[in-house]
Formats: sequence, structure tokens, C-alpha cells
Amino acid sequence: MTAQRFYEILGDIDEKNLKDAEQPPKTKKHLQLKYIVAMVACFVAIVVIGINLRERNPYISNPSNDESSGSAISVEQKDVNIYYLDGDELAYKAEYMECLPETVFASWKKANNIGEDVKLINVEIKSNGQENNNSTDSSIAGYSVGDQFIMEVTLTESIKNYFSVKSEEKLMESLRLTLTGYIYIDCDKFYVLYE
Amino acid sequence: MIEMGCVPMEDKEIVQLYLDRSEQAIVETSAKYGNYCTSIAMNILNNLQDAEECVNDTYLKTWNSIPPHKPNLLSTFVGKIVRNISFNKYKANHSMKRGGYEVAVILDEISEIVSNSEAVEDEIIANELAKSVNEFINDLSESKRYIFIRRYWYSDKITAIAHRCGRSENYVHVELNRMRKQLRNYLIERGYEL
Repeated sequence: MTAQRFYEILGDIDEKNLKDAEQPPKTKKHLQLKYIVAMVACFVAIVVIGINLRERNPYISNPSNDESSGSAISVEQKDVNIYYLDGDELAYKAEYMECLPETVFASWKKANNIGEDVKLINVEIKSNGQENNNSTDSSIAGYSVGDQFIMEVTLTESIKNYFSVKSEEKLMESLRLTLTGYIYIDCDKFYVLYE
Repeated sequence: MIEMGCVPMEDKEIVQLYLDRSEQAIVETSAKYGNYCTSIAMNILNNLQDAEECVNDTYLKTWNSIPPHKPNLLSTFVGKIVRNISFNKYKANHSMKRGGYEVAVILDEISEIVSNSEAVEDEIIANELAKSVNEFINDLSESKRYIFIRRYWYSDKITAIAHRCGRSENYVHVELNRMRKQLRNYLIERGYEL
């Protein structure tokens, strides 16, 4: 048989096979060595970058540097301005400390010669932000960020004992400046409650 | 060529136009399968003018074939016609020693399967042989079947096949070589004197 005749016979290949051959088959991709090497290199790069970020960023927990707290998240530490009454005048000093309300409040008490009988019960920041109800899709939760923030501080009533010695207005002003000064939110209003 | 935004007609609708003897059938066939037919003709003839001539002959032959034929797959129906017409054109050109054809290389490859000697009984066994070739092709894996059909039916270049299936040219070349040997042995085992 001639090659030409056989070529003509090959023309009678089943239509289904001809139709299938109009598009290349979807083959399973075999991972080649170069791709495996590239993937491993990417993984190593991610791990190295992650370690560097962990060492540089105080917000990211680093168990090796924070064994004492046992906390999963480290607290930012920085210079905090502690305001106090120097006579009748407001003054401040910077102290390096953990940015926790309890820690800052303790330093404020110490700077203003306020005893351990006064305790910080609660600090709350409220805003006028609110949840949105999406009427078209109940599965989507929405929230409008507010534009006003109010810090509400609750102290034990024993603080009132010091108002006879220090001006209440100026003492609370020093507390306001201290507690609102180290956070990254500009509070429009500041309230103190006594319990 | 299909205009941008123009949706090609379904095969059934085009075939119905042929059955209704509407000349719009050729317009729609050309719009949907013009490039497809031209690529097959170009693979065989390697000459655009000859290829376009064959494609136009294909439309005419399709017009004359439907009815009585009523193909389910219009693409392979017109594909087979354009392949036959183009190959006949190739043979006519080849007798005039016009070279540069991919199909000449393919025929050389097919010579490894057959003896290249002419015999009267070849025409008698042609139908049976076609069935056996189809059985062989059906037994191939999907990727090998694709390579075989693209090479020996669509007459694609090895470079094009390698590109389309994401393999190296060497891989396609080796696979084709193996399949030719397998096909020869397959047919000899079934009593064909090639």
C-alpha cells in the first residue's frame, strides 16, 4: 500500500475523535524540578521575612522575648506623657512603659501623689459608629465608622478625697491628657464616672 | 471571518439551511468554519491561494452533499471534505514537482507503516483497514490520540502540536515514532499486508 493511500484511509478517523482533537486534552501538570525549587525558595523567603517582621514589630507576639507575660499578643511599649499637677500648674514627664490603661493610670497616680485606695475600674471608648442592616442580603454585616469618640473612665469614689487638696478640674484634666494622649484616637469628649 | 460580536449559528441550524437549499448555509458555514477549513488546507498545501481555492470547493461539495447527507458534526464533515480536496490538490501539485509541503514529510513518516507498493487488493481492504486504524486510535491514551490525529489527520506541524499540548518537539517526535511502529505491528498482527 502506498503512503498516499494510507493517508487517505486515515481520513476516515471517527468523527468523535476528530472533534475531541480540535482542542488539546487537559493534561495533569507534572511538577518539574525547577518549579519545586521555586516553590521551596518562596516558602523560605516567606519564613525569613516573617521572622524579621516579628523581631521588628512590637505588635506581633514573639514568645522568646515575652516569656514573662505568657500572652499571645505583646503590648506596645513607648514613651507616655504622664501629666501631673505641679502646684497649680499642669506639667508632664515622659515615661517608657507598656501602653496599658492600668499601667498608665498607675504612673499618673504616682506622679500626682494619689494613693492605692484609688482604682481604675473601667476605661471605655465609645463612638457614634453603628451597624448597618443590609436589607438585600442579611448575610452581610455592615458597619459605619463613627466620626466622634468619647472616652469614659470609671474610678473608685475614693478619688474625691483628693479633691480637697487638688483642684478636681485640673486633676481630671491631667488624667484626660494622660489617658487620651498615648492612644491613636482623638477623643472628642472625656467623662469620668465615680463608683 | 466572524465579525466581532456575531454569534455563530448552531450546526443544526446551518444543516437545516442546506436542507432548505438556502444559500445562507454557505455564508454561515464560511463564518463558522472558514478558518478551520483554511488551516487544514494550509497544512497540506502550504499555499494560501491553493488553500482558499480548496476551501471554496469544499463549500460547493458540502452544498452538493447535504442532502442526502445530514451530518451531526458539521466541523468534521467539512473538515474531511477539505482534507480530501486539499490532498488531491497536493497530489496534482506534487506530480509537477512543487515542493515545500509538510504533508510530504508526513507521507515519508507513513512510509514507515506501509510498504509503498501498489496492489489491486488495497482498495478492497481499505474499509476494513480504516476500521482497524480507528480501533488502534481508540485504544490510545487521550494525549497520544490527540498527537496522532493532529499529525496524521489535521497534518499539523510537529512544532504546532508541541506548542498546543505544552510538550517539547522532541517529545512529540518520539511519541509519533512509537505510535507508527505500534500501528504497523497492530495491523500486521491482524493480517494486513501493508
